[in-house]
Amino acid sequence: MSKKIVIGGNDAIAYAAKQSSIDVISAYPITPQTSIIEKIADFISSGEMKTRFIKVESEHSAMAAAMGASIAGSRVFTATSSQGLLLMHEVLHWASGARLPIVMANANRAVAPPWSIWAEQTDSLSQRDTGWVQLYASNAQEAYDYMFISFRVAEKIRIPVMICMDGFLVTHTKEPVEIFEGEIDDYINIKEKRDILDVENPQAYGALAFPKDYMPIKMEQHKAVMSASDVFKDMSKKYADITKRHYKAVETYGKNDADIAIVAMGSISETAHYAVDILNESSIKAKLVKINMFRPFPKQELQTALNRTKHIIVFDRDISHGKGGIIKDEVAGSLGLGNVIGFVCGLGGVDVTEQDMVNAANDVINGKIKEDGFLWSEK
Amino acid sequence: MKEIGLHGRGGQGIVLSGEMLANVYFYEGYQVQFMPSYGAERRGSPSNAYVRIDEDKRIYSRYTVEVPDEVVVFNTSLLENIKVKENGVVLLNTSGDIKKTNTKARIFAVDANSIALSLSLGTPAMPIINTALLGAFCKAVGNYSFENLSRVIEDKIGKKADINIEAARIAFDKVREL
Repeated sequence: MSKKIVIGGNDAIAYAAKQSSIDVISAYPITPQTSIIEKIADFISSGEMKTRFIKVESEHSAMAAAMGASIAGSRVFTATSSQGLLLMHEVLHWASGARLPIVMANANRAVAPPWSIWAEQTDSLSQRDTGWVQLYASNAQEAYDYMFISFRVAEKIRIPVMICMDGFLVTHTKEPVEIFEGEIDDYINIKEKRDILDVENPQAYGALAFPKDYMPIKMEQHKAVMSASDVFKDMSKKYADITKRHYKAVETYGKNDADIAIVAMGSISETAHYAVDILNESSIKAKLVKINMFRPFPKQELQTALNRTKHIIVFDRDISHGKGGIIKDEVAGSLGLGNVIGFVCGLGGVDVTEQDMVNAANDVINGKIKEDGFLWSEK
Repeated sequence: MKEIGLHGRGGQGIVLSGEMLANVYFYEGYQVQFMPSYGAERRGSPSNAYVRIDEDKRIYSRYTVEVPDEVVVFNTSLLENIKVKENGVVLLNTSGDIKKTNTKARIFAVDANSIALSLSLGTPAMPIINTALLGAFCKAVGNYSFENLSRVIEDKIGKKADINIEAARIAFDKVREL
């Protein structure tokens, strides 16, 4: 029987890990990810979880050990955040290039300097080109549910999956989460057959590829990541059959024929529900377009959600210095839209409220704001 | 939606009390959200935690509470920096003779330090007062049952649950409105 308990995103990830028949976890602690691996360590020491936990001396080693275990055929999980994720950068490419179905949770935290432990998505968005599928959980329930779906997607297409959650705002904010007992077993215990290290039939991983071999391999890898779109749909549907929660790459809320669409990802997309309600009550037709999957980029879904909307505003809790908000750039660029205005906001954990979003929406509709900028006020 | 602030100093169990309070309201059938505010944690430095509750609607807010409807003040040395809504509720941990000045808020007081120490909870330098304050708050706000509070204390505290429930009971009886 499932039950609801009050837990945070990190706890939710740990509970899901316990139920995911994971063989190996290698991880290194970093705020605000630490409570994931602390809880997992508790589950292992109490015997509730039969998983080999490898303690490592850095995140670079955490991902290297995860790769080794995955190549040997294990189901592997790890978790990190910010500086740790950045230290992993090289190995992220190795893992995806070797087509290893590793699942990793990332607690989104601002990148130093200046030193910060608070929420920002620049850490994982700056890893968008490493060949990992990226999902963004906006609450603890999503974090829990994405774990199961992620293993199934990863193993189906042999591509690693990163589950991102805003530090503290999702990782440590506690709320009711439905936790399963045995209901999920049939779903999660399916493990796809794949090539693994075999002493009887030796193979090499990461060997030199001459140009004529390298490019086809990369094209194939790209195709595999693109296929995550359909595989996610399929695995998500099967998950919904058990849980009644049906996740999509892009979700919408509010008025279909909206004059203004608020695009957001992660914790900001939660708060944005209220912004949409306030705007709709004030007779401005508004909708939320919530991005759950950033890689592969949900171009088609966004087109459907945004193609007839007059004003589109994007809230980015991230920054690409010299360009602006990363999500805004991808939405506008990929859809070829000229009516998208981006707000870089909430960097280093600065609060973003529904009133901030409503004000920005009004300023755009009234023509007071005509170009990208920061959402910032001295308080 | 109602927002509750818990304000104290590092080491006073602010985070745990917020989590307990969220669980109490969850058992009462409320939609709940517990949001601790994290910074550079040090023993003795100000520590805040917030609980949002709603009788039926799911809570979407993902930012810090600015002005709570109700506050529990673990340490009155922090009073200067604590905000509360005009018609809110304030629970103070104090043995002093506090006078109500110009405010529409309902103000309650309880000497949680003495209650904790009479039961050997913590030390004179750092009495453990979170369960006593939740007992007093239960009486002050009147929207959760002492039974559910006891249940949560048992869930979260384990070994020392009995004396903590006792502390909550005494504080429930002793809390007074100014």
